[in-house]
Amino acid sequence: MTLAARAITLEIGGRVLVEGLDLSVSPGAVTVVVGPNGAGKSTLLRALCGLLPLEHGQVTLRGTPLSSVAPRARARAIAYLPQQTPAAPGLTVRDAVLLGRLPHRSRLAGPSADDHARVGTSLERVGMAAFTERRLDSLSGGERQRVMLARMLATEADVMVLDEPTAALDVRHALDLLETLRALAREGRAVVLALHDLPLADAFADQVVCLDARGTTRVGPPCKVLSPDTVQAVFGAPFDRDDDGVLRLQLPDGAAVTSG
Amino acid sequence: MTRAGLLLLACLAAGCPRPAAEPPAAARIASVTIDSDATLWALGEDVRGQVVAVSALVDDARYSPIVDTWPASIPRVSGSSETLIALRPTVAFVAEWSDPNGRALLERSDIDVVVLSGFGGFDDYRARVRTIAERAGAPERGRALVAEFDEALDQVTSSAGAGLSVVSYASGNVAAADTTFADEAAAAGLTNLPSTKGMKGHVQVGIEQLVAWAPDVLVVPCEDDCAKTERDFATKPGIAATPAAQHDRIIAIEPALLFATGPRMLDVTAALVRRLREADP
Amino acid sequence: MTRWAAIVSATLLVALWISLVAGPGDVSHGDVASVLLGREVTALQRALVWDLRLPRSLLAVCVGASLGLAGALTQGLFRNPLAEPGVLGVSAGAAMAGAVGLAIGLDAAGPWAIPGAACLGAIGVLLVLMAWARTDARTSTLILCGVALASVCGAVTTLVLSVGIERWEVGMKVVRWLMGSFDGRTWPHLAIGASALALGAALAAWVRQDLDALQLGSDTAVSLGVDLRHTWRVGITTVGLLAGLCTALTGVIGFVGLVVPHIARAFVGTGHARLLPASALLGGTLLLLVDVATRTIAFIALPPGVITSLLGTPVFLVVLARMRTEIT
Repeated sequence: MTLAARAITLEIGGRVLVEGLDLSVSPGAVTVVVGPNGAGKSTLLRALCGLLPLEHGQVTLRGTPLSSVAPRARARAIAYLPQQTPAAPGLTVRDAVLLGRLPHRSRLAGPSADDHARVGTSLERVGMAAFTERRLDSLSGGERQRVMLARMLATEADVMVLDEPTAALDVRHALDLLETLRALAREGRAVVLALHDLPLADAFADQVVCLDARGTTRVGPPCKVLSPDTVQAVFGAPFDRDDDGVLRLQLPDGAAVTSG
Repeated sequence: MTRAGLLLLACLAAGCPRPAAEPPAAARIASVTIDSDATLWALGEDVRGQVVAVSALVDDARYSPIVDTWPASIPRVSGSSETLIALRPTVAFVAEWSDPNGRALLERSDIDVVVLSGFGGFDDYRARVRTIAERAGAPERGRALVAEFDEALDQVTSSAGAGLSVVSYASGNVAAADTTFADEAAAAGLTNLPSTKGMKGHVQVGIEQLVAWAPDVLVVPCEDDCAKTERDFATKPGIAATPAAQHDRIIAIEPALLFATGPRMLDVTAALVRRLREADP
Repeated sequence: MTRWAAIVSATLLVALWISLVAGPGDVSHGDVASVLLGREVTALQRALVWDLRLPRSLLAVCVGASLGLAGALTQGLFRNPLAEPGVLGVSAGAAMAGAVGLAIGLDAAGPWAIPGAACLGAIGVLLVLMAWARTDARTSTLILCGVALASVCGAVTTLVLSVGIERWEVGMKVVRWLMGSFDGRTWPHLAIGASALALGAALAAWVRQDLDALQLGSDTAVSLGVDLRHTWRVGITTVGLLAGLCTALTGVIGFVGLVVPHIARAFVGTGHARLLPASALLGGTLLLLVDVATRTIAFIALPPGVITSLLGTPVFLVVLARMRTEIT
């Protein structure tokens, strides 16, 4: 149990997004957070990373409350990718990935040979080694996301938290990214990500956290949490499961969509 | 802007000639420059009686040579044309830098506006005195005043500074040709260095240039304490290497005196002569 | 990078030598060498080279370097390519605080009173900007906020000046303060400028990794272990110190802080480990060249800020035009 939330309540502007959530994130597993727009997916992820001060409940990292972990130690343990990364004009792929090594360096030290080596292996892992000297702002959305993933890998964190990493990607790139994330989880990392595509969430999650915009949370395996009834209640959209248990969107004319 | 400031100071005490129309009998005179305030006072009882307003700074010791001289019953006016017009003057002495809109307003109000300009030296002073006297209906008093000035000039004129070069340096500017200082220095027998370089008026000059000229005499305005100003200047980096600093010929003069435009210009000459004699008996 | 740095350093040294030889007075190359080597020269030559030109030129280098550094820091802190102490009204804040200080006679309190006031003025403006940038980080909002602050500071300065017309000596002091100049600046001024630069460089080095991380946004930076409040505090203090003391020493010098980091970035990239020293080196060289030009070409001693603004405004507009699409 790498990262655990105990009885956390999250509010924004007096509106309760999450109430009394208990959640454990374990190595090897992919946890997917789903919920309608504004349900608090991003807020929950930020809280799990320690980016948000908590008023109720606490998040622990290997048993230690996150609020008492030093920022750099926390950064070495949890890597985070926000929903949007600013343009960063002029920043090269190499320098962007090197930033992932910052938590491992003292303030005044420059990057070591080891840092550079890890940048190389991280970029290779996501298939972006050929782009090392390119500028980040010259890449496509999918390429940028892979570089950002390499940046997280370079940190060598046990927990990786990603906020809708597939939001700007087409299906092929989204699938590639999710495959990579699942592989990374299987290597022993805990992966937490927010997704808005329910069939994809259903297909890739080992554990689903479903937020309903009214403070209620459901946590469990996808087949239990993402039942057609729950999805109808939370999202207001008709889904069903086919004979193989695959989650499908039911269109009014009877057609079914499994992923999009 | 420093130069503008210096000009402003020079201007707070000044006036200049213009071809005179027929002198009106028993005019109502408004004076808005310290220079004309002083000259009108010096022109005597008859002229004083015609004055209905003097400038606001006439009692300010920093600029005015005639503090508390004009009776308090004479209104002090600043730039506001409205107050001035309310006093119904027939003649107004204004300066060349006075607000042109205000001046136009005075002219439209049928006031004879006399613009005083030229504050460059002894000749300008003589011309201003004549203009003011004529407009005040006392030309002969003007001639007498000029004669008094010339007599005093004869008395202070000296060759004490013969063979020595001088620079007057204030706020980054030197006084070159066509300045009161050029005439004051000449009367003390000094050679005004900036004039010999072909410069005119108050010119901004770097300390480096000043040091490179290597003046024998350096004149500066006093800050708080004249003796301290002289000591401070003598030890300033660069200045310390000039002949002026090495032969104790840095002369600090009260700003009100150094920038005077009236008869007190001669006091500057006298001060220079006195100091040169002390330094080199 | 190395080659680029070598070229700029060589330019700096050549400009420094020219600044020692050129100018009024009878000073040859040999005389300059003699002064520097401590050989026999006339008192006047020594005064010109050692007392006036050398400290003045080194001060120009220090102030230029400080402004380049302050510009790169500000752009990094605000993640905004148009941020710069001059553009954001920080220098105006320093100038205003100094002018107010002079008007109320603060200069009598000691030689550090007015430079100190200038630093506080700069920091005050930065704090307002920071509060603003937290809620709305768009370029246009930030620049507008800077413009508003600059005009408020300008209005207060004008008020001080208009009061100064009544009190001539105060007015002159304020005017001289606002215009600034390298003229008559010598070793004591250099000591202030060099210490400001050294302290500023040390503080900048302390937060440079944070600035690197901030390129990816504040959320990512925090997730990478950056303590944003600490970074802001150190960064704002550094920029305030550099901009305030530079203004105190030589008046408002605009655009060096804007233009220099842009040029430097084109050569050394965006990493602050190289960008900060490169901006300092380039800023120092640029301002020294400007000062050499004003000393040797111009007939009158132009305030350095006039030249940099004349050169800098077109560059500012080009940058603005290039990023027009990004600004909303």
